[in-house]
Amino acid sequence: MRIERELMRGAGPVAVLSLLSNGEMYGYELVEALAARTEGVLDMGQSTLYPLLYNLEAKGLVDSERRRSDHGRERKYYTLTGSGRRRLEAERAQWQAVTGAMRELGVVVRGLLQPAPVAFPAVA
Amino acid sequence: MQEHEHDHEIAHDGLWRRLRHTPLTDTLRGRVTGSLDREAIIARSGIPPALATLVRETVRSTGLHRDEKAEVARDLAEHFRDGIDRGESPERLEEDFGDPAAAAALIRRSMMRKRSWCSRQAGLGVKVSAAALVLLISIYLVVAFNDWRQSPNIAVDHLAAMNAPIAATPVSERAWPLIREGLTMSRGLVDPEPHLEIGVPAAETRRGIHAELVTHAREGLPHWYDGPGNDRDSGSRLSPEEIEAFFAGHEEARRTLLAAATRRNLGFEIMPGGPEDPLDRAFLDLGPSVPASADGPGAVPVDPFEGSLINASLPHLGSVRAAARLLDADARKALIEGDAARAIEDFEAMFELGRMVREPSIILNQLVGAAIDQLVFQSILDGIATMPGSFTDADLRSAVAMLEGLDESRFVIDLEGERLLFEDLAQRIYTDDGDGDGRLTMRGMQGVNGIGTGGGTGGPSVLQFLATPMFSRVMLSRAEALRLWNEIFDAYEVAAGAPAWEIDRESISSIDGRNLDDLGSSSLSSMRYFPLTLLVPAIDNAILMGHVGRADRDLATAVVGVEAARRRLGGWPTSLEEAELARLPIDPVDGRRLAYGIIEGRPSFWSIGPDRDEDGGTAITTTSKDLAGWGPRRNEAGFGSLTGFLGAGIPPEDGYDGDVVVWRGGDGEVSPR
Repeated sequence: MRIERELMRGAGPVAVLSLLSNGEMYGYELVEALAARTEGVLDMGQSTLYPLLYNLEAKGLVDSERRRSDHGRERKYYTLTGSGRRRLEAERAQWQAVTGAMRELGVVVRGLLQPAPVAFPAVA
Repeated sequence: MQEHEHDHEIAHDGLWRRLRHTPLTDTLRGRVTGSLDREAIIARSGIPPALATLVRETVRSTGLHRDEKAEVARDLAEHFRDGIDRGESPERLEEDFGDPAAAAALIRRSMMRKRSWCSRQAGLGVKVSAAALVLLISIYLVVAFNDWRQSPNIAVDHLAAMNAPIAATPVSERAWPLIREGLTMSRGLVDPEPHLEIGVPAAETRRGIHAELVTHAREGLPHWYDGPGNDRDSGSRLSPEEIEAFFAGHEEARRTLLAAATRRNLGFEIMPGGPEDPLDRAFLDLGPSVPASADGPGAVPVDPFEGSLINASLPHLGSVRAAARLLDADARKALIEGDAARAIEDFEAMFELGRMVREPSIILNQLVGAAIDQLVFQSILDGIATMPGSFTDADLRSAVAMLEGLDESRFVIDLEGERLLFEDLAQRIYTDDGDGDGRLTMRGMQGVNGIGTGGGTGGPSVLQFLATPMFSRVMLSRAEALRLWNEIFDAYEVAAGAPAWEIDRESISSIDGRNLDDLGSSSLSSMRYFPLTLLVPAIDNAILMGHVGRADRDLATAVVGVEAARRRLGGWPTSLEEAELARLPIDPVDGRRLAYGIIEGRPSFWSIGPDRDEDGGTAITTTSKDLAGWGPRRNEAGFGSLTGFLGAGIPPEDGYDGDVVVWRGGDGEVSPR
């Protein structure tokens, strides 16, 4: 199921911030996680992900560091900053409110953004 | 797609290539990282060619800075490398990536947000500056085009107005035809090879004959040349027989020139390109006349100076001067032969030619007139010094009457013609707003550039097209230029009419409160005051020459008076009081009575000279400059060498210790006739 662009524009950053709230991740890892964890709903093309990451970085919500992984590959790892964490909390509250309202209206039948911290294993 | 053409197999580790792709900061630290080499980044990722091309195309399309492109290339290449490692097919990855152009646009926007505030402001500044520059250039080009369309309005034919009195003179009252006739007779005798006939060097012709006569006359009287260092030897000699032969052949020419001097005025119309009369053109060796352009009334000529005063040709000046020289030579010969009456007849004719040639009142005409006057003064001063016996008492009286009869106005340079010259120039180079103001036109600028170089015709160059708007707005406007021109000419006229020792030199050497020499010190001021600076400088010297002429006339009169007193007293008068002169000569340097005394038995007049200090008639000996006078370097009568030292407020020149002896007589042994 593909999400409308406008909705994706609001959901994509929150989803990425949410994933990074569990620990640092690199680009492809984020794409994989979004696809896997949202059953393809928030599956965003790479052409969307990297601009999104650059934007978050420009706003100071995420930080990046390029370094070699344990397997010798050089990658850029993204982490959540303090500002990012506060933004995520604010966004989360807003999404909760929207979801609740939608549920009341019968638009949503179950929560979309349950805070469920998941520890992702490092991908080789 | 230039980057697509890169060979993937190329070696990416060459030092030069790495150096080219190393950030400046790394280079300064001595590290050749090559971190900006996108091809190397893509190659190192090992992604398939299709994905490599996708990365290249996307990165190129972003239009970001080099370091930003390298970062994006690295991110995308790593991303696809991870995908390949996960087992995804290149086709799938390419498909998932989406539209490269859309991706590039999104990446560009987001990367630009990452830029620092300074970097964003700098980028904005560059854009704004570029836009402003384009706007300014566009405005400038519009202005240049508008200026290109501007034309001057040539409303007054100043040349015709100047020629009108000449044209109104009947031919029978014009001197020029007789001067032409007289000189033609002279030519007939000496051409084609005058030097063969009379032994004058070919290059000198008539002028040489005159010079030879002056030398010859002086050499005939040893005391004239007994001073050391005389350098007036022309290097060639004429025998008395040769001179006699020459003048026997020129007698008819002389009579014709004397007749010319009786005419009312010169009657030579000044025209651009010279006179139209074929006889004049043949005489002046001008070739066939070129017809003026066939523009109708009111049309703007191609050459902005066509028909202008500044283009007016004055080819007759050399001929009038030659006629005067011929008469002067005859006068000097007459003095040698003891016939001062004939000499005075020649002198009177020369003064008349000098009067006539001053009209119209162009400054060059007046300079030639003053130079002719000088020939007479010099010959009288030379004659009384070396050949006083040639003058009868009656001759002396005639000489005084002749000198005192000269109109004072001939010593006051008339600047009306120069004023008109600039008015004429202004109407040809500036636009006319109807209120006396206007701006420099492109053709005007072209014409001004051609002054003195013969240029000024043809279409304007691209450079002129581009330069004119700037020049025309930096240069004085028409009204400003005319105001300043008239201001300085007012000052010139005051200086011309004031006594020589009261001339305010500052007022005649400055424009707009700034010294003329300083106006060229910067390109901005020389541009602003052009063409005033082009036309003004020669005039102050001409004004001073007028004063020198008056002083020389007074000196010559006094010298004739002293000779008359010698005859009356039986010896040189010891003072001017004893000489009982009707009018005492003035030293133009300080305005006091000109110093006179008997030095080594010889009567002498001297000026206090540049040191402005009375030295008892001792000639300057300590100067390395050619400050002449009756000094050790040469024997030259008159005040000519003092021209540059006339005026008020000039500090004493201590380097010129001594006086300038302006005349020194003989030893009194020559008996009067």
